[in-house]
Amino acid sequence: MSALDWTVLVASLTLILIFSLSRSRGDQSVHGYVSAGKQMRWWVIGLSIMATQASAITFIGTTSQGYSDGLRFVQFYFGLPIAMVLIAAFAAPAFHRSGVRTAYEFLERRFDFKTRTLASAVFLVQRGLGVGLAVYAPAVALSVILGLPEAPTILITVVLVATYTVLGGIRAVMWADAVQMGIMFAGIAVAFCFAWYGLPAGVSIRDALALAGSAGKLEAVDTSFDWNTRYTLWSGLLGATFLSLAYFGTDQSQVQRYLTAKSLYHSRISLLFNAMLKVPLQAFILLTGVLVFVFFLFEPPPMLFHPAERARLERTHGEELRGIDSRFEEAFQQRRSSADRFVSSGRATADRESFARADQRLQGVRSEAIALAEQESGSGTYSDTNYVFLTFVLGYLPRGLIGLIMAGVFAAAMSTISSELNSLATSTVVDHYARYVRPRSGERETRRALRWATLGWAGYAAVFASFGGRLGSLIEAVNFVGSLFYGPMLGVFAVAFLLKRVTANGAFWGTAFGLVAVWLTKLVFPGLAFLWLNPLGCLATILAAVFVSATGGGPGGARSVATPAGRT
Amino acid sequence: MSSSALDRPLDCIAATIGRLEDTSHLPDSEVADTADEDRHWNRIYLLVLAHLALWIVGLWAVGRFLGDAS
Repeated sequence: MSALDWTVLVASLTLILIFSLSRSRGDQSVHGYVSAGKQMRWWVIGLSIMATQASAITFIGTTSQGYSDGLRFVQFYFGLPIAMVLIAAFAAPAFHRSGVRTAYEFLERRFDFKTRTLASAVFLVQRGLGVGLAVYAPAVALSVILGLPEAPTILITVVLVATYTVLGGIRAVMWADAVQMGIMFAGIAVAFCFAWYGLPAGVSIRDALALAGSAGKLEAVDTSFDWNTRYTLWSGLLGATFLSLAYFGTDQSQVQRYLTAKSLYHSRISLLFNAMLKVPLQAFILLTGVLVFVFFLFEPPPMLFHPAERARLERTHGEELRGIDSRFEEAFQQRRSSADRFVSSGRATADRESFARADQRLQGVRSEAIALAEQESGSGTYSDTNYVFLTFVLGYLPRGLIGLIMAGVFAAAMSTISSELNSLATSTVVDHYARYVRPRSGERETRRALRWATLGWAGYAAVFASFGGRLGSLIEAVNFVGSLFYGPMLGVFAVAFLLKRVTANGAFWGTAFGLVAVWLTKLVFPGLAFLWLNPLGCLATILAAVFVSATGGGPGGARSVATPAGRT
Repeated sequence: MSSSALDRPLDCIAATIGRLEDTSHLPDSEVADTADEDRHWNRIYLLVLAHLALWIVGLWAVGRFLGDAS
């Protein structure tokens, strides 16, 4: 990166820091720190919800996914609008009326303390592991691509985020999210324009789309049904709806956003704002990746996008790699000629087929290099998904704009990390410290505890990320564990919102049963696409909760959750 | 589609959902949300879902006509 890029990057990060802190000045109350005084407007909440979900890996990985797999991944987001409608209709009014500060506090109002404690403990484990990965994963990609050591990248990210999260609480986090979302939008739009602008003079946008379509990159909707295929229309509409319901309706890192709304109207509209924008936005990000694919039809792409892995292979399998390189170069020239013929013939069918064959040949040669990298990696895996977009940005965008895109990557990372730190600290203090350790703690002590908890979680995230490289397969285990929790969490909230006859014991044992059921299913059917675990866990929890309640599960059917009094 | 024709199925869905929703813990004044307000939100929800359906059909058409048949 040039000095101008570094200037743009540092200026953007400084702007985020100053702006977010300036918006959170003045309010020193606990209510302000965890709920922003319930004064936030729908568009800030909506942008914050969106920014929290969009991690750095989403930012750089989704564009790369568009490059390699086309628009197919957009199906993953089809369930989100459905989930948002259901949350706006049921969850948002219930949370709003009860006046709770955490989603799990609602469970105590409806059931009892043990269901609240179980749910918040599950959240702390799941999100605690997640925040470590949210710091680690982009730090690795940025370090490799910028040539910086990992430790300073991790440290800079965590210190910046911790500064405004500790000092300003949720108000600072949400205003920072809004600015960060703006920077991300700008970064993607710039990349899209330059991928388009970089096409050869005779290639129109229609030609570009036809080329992408011929390579299968525009097949966004897969109507086939297969339990083991990750992204289809059905897994998107059913599985992803449950996942989105669980994430946006029960996860404190998202619920806390719309708990800050100044009224139920603002809360609902912020959710529906996301419902309307998410699919078009993700389609646009994927389309940017597709345009990068078309760009690399006319410019030679690297055979392997991961520079460190490539360098390692050159050292260990230099001669073999050079052989594959020369065949890759030959296959690229053939594909380029086919693409030129396809465009100049006015998109003739014969030329389209010839281009599709040439593209498959090139992918075949690349597969040989990938197989070599997998063999060399030790873990038997190789992925350069996170490097495709960054390679394009660093190689082909003008000075200054590279800095803007890098600011977008940092902004995406920071927005996720800050919301996670803030919600982890809120749940730690509100659901545990002020509930069990210091139930009589005053305003000042609770606020101090919140700040220390935020700092503590930030320190933990930095340490986790610093050792990330040595964790190896533990990272996969973390992702595996995380995917088990959402279904049962959704199940317990569903019975809280919808089933008045379910008792406190029913809710608690139903959740425990749901967790075990999902874990066993994953062990027995390891190939089952993870999206299906969410409906399964939810259903298992609901059925078990109803069964325990019907067979004498004790009291707790209809407790008052409408009154905000008696906060813990 | 006229407003009343649109409202009838929405009222039916709202009534079904209303039977599911646990409102026993709420004071009567809060349970009795006005029917007009419910209808207003139901129309917005329907609009959001129609928007999703349009995007799915649009994306399917892009793949169908710019992919295979281009």
